[in-house]
Amino acid sequence: MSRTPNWGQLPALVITNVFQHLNHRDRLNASTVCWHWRSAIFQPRFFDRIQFDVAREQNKKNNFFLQKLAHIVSEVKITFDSSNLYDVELTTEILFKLSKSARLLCLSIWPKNATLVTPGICLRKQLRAAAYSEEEWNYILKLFVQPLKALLSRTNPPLQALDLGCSEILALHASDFLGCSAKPQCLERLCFASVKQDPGHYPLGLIEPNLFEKCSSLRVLTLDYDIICDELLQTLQLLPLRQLIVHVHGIDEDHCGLSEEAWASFRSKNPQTELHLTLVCAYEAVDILHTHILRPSMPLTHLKVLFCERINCEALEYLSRHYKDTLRSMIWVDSMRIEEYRNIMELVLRTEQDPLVMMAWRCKKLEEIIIHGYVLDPHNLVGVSRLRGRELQCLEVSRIDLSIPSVMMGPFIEEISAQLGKKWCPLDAKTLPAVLGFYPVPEEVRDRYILNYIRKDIMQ
Amino acid sequence: MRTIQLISSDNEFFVIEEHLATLSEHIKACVEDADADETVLIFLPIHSAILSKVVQWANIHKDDLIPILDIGYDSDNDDTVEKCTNNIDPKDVDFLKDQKDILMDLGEAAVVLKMKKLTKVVCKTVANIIKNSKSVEEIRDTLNIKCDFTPAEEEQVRRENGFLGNI
Repeated sequence: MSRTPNWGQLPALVITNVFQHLNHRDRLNASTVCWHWRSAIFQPRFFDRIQFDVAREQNKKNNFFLQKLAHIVSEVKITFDSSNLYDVELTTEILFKLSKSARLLCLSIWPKNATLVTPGICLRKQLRAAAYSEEEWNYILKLFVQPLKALLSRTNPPLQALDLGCSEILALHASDFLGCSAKPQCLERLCFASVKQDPGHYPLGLIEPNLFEKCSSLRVLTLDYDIICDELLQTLQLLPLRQLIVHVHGIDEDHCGLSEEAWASFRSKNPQTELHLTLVCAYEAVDILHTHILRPSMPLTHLKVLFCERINCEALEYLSRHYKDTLRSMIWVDSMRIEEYRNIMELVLRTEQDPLVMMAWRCKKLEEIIIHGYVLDPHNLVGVSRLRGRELQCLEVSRIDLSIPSVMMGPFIEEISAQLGKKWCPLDAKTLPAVLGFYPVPEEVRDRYILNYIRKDIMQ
Repeated sequence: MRTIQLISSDNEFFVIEEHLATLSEHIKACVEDADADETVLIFLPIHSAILSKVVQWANIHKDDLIPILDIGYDSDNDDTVEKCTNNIDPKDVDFLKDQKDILMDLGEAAVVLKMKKLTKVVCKTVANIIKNSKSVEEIRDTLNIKCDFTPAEEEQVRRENGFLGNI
């Protein structure tokens, strides 16, 4: 009895079972054996997430993904150069195809720039108008907003996560997105916070607080400060939020701020929620951070102040007074300016104490300090490292007081390394990203850096 | 005790003991459907050469305590992705050694008979062959699979694998 084994005929069930015992690499190899085996690999269980990196040279890859994977994966991220009309159009094609998917649960759209160009934008730039042109608005509505709404209004399975990648113009439709969600109770992650094209002038989006009432599974939410009011905060406090990220840009005259009572109530209901406050090019807000935005009962865990062109030492002091039980991360990043080529101590006029040392002393959960664009006194850095020790997982600085000769820096670096329990040194000014170099830095370079920087925070 | 007879696709009869039936969901269901005192005849689309191996495998495991299998060796949870292939019962390793030419038929038979454990050990054995092969050609050679790609198609498949590599 001789039967020639013909593995190519193996039922798909058995191949699938074999494939389940292999890692991705071995599975790809096995699927290269013959057509029958090849057909068994394109199953949802073997591909759960893909990323489209939109660009002309990636077209073949992206088309292949669209053809073979777009309808089976549950998670998609799209990154694209939003200042390039060709790439924007490619992105809309991908979105259109994805909007038909019956499996997609999590979608992230990550433009690489704050600006999203459309066929109508040139005119607006010429007119220097803050409002979007009708042509531009309709383009976004039809090619970005409609596909997203199609996904959100799908009942089975319902969408779980939507990340608009800080796009200003998409975030203006946040209210529509929430409104058309077929099962808002299944939404787990919504990223509606933005980075503005022009932080000085921008249209305000509004979200009715009651739209969030049904989002009973929402764990992660990012929003612009402009949208949040006491009433909204009261709605949010009833949700199982693990992370709330708030972006501050300009401060509108009509924005009445958030009250201490509202934050106290939020905190009592959500003691475990991480609150991230991120100031993005907020030139005015940075000055009134401690007087108008920070409130003692905020459960502030992470503060980022990005490219606000000023350090606010009173706000730093405020942090160590009020967030000693919550603050975990403090990041203050700017491009370098000649006039700030003095150390932070010299900027502290009211007290004798370095606000960072105070922070290290009082904030018992502090594990990350990142400061760029300002000169720091090495004595005080040693103080910070002694106070926090190994609990300070990240101490990232790039400028040390220049009045100290470089040969004298050795002992400081050794001491800080010993205190932190790992090799430490300041970042080399010569190899810093361009955006951390001397002012002025092109807006486009800055925005790309900011977008990259703040997306890392979002809990997955 | 009832007599159970399996009839292969080439009309050979295999008489098996009743408790062996518990190794196969399919046979078990047939036995349960039949009257209590009659001989159970089960026709199977499996060639005698393979069916004899299946019966042989079942006999090797007849003395296992609670034979059905998902105990001790091979207690993976079906819901988790099973990557572990070095937990094959030594008795099965021994049984499947030098059987590469009938592994496929055994796998098919195991699926037809709904024999969970046999399916698992066969698939794990195949997975091990794939893991230990240095190239696609070696997998084809070892398992005697004919490549039905044209050179252009194979080139395309390899290019696609490049796209899929970093997922």
